Amino acid sequence: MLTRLSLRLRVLLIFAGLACAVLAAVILGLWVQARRLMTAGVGADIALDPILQAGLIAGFGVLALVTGVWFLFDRNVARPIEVLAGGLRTGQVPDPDEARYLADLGPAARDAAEARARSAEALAEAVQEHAAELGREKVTLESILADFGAGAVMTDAQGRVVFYNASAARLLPGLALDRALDRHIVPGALEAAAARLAAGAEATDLVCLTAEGARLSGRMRRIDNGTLLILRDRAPDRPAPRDAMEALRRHAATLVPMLDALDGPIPPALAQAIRDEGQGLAQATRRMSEIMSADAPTGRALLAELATGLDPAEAVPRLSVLAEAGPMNALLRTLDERLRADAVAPRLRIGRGDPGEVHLLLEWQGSSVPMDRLEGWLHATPDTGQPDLTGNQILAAHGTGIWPEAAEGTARLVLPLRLAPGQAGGAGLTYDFALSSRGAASSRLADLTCVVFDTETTGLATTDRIVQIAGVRIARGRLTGERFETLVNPGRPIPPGASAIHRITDQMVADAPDMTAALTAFHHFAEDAVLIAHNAPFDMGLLRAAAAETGAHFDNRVLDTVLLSAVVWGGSVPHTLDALTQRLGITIPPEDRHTAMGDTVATAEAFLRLIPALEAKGIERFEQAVIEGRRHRRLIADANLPITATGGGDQSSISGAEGSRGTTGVVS
Amino acid sequence: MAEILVIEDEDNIAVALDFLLTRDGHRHARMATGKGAVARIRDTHPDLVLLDVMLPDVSGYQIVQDVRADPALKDVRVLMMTARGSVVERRKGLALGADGFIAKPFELNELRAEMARLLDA
Repeated sequence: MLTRLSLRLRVLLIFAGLACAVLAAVILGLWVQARRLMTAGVGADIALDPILQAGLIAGFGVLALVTGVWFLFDRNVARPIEVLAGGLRTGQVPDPDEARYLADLGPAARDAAEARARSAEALAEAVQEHAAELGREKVTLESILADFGAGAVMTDAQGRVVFYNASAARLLPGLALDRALDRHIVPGALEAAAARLAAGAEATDLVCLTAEGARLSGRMRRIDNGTLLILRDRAPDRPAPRDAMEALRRHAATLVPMLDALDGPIPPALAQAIRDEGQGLAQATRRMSEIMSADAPTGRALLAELATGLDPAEAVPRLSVLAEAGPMNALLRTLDERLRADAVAPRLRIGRGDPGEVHLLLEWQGSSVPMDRLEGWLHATPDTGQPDLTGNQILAAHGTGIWPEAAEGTARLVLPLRLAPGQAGGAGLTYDFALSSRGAASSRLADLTCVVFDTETTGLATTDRIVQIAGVRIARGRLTGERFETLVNPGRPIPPGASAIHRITDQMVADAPDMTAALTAFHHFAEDAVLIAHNAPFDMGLLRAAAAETGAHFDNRVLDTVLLSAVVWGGSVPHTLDALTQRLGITIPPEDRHTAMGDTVATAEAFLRLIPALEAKGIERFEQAVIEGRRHRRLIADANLPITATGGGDQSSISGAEGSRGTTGVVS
Repeated sequence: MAEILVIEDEDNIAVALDFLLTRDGHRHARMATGKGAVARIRDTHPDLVLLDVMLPDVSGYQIVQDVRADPALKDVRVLMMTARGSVVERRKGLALGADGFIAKPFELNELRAEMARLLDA
């Protein structure tokens, strides 16, 4: 039992016990002596006095001695031992003066602490070095995977996405972590490939159709507990233009015998027939040449790749075009060299072309280059890697051409190229391999797949329009890094009062997608997720009011951080986004406040920090959070559609009004 | 009636054009090569040039570029004709200063409409 007390207290008790024992012995000795004296007939008044005096002197002497020894022992032994032990536990090197009466213990403890510190330092260094090495390898692997052209998607054993790169996001619009892959691909191909893997193949080729109808080819490989799928665009197998060929043959076959009749007078009916057949021949030929020239290059190249070795006049915009980087860059460099040989210094500019294309311009001061000269250059073979390809063939393979223009002393060569679809590359890689080890999704708050979002609008009424919308995804309690952000053209002027808050002007949204395009894209992003907003009735009201116009129905489950805040702190404190983030120690950079993405990120961080607080109150599941939130409906309505809660113990319906702005003080 | 110069190396097309232009009452002449074409245009100053792109010696693009480089010829209309019917060829021709572009095989009505557009302009 005594071992639970501190060393110093135990020593104190030992010394106190010693003092008590010595005092008891002195008292006992004096009492025996007094008894003997009184038995010998000495009077009590004579005998007791000296005995009492001796007793007091001995008693105080013993007490003083024991106290003194205890004090020295405590100060020089017990306390230094405790200090040493604490120091050893926390890794601090003890002060040698402190332990000077502990013989070798002090220096030994110091040596031990120093040795431990050295080994901890060495360990930390080794760990850091190893981590840095891993970090470098990770960056290298990430850049390889992000840029290797093909789409890469990894799924866990349940077929849910745990990794994808930018190319995969382009090939499979709406791809997101923790979402089932098979929803993006027409059923059949994936299952058949998985069955081939299950039959023992390490990897297998497949061709599949995306939900959007695009044809992809790929290779599926089993890895760890899931599969890795490498996907590429597959140019549609172009059937031989049999119909056009047949039409050509038919018209020619009809025309040739008719032409034999031209020697004599031609009856009007025959003349008409010849005319009809001639027109048919012309149309069939045209159709044939359209089919033959419809090929687009399958390669994608950044403008920066094509600009390599040239002299850009300004920063080259980060855009991808449909081009084979090698031959196209070689052609541009050859033209650049030829022009320089003509003593001009061309600079590369990127101009706007028709919608969906850019113009690469080699521009210089001086006179234009003659067409014959340019055509001569295009007969050369610029690409040493493909020495049989002429400049003209490279241009033809890209479905484009090049020509000179000149105006006001500036001459240029113009080369139009098609922009690659899906420019918004975003992050190169998105992954969370831990998803696969976190078990199945459930209605636990920490397991939900959520999209936290915010809108900026033309005003605060439910009839107002959205001018910006942003969202971030959370999968099982972690931000996935996937973001959605777009300005929206509201189709009406933005009132100055609204612009003053969110700093979005009519000019900024002039070229932005309209409500239908923006909300359809957001619907893809948020599909299957629980929607979370701060003051959700307002934002959900806008989304749902737009459904008739956009066709995007947001029947997602909803959580409101205003209500979650009220569940945690009660209704008496303010629940504005500023107040909530301040309570949770989240700072929103002032320039990001009242931007859709700034407020979204703050709300998402607030939600993630609210989860443990809610769990501490025993609220662990979505249904519980909604039911608890309803206790605060005087503060703000619940934004969930009237559906029946499932999963939790309470099967009552979760009903909620929508569209009300709630009481003042909670607006975002 | 307009003054038209046909620059076309394919004899059969030239014969068909000769037939059409005669029937429509245009004065016209034909050159089978591109060499000397610009000098001839300067001399005769036609209202319209029907210009084939693929000539054996000089490219039709070169001829239109030269015509457009001469301010004295700015009211000469140039209608280019090519068997290579791609959109880029058309854009290239128009960028170099052609007033119209027509892909072979064309129907005579189509050619006639395009010529009327250019001569009225």
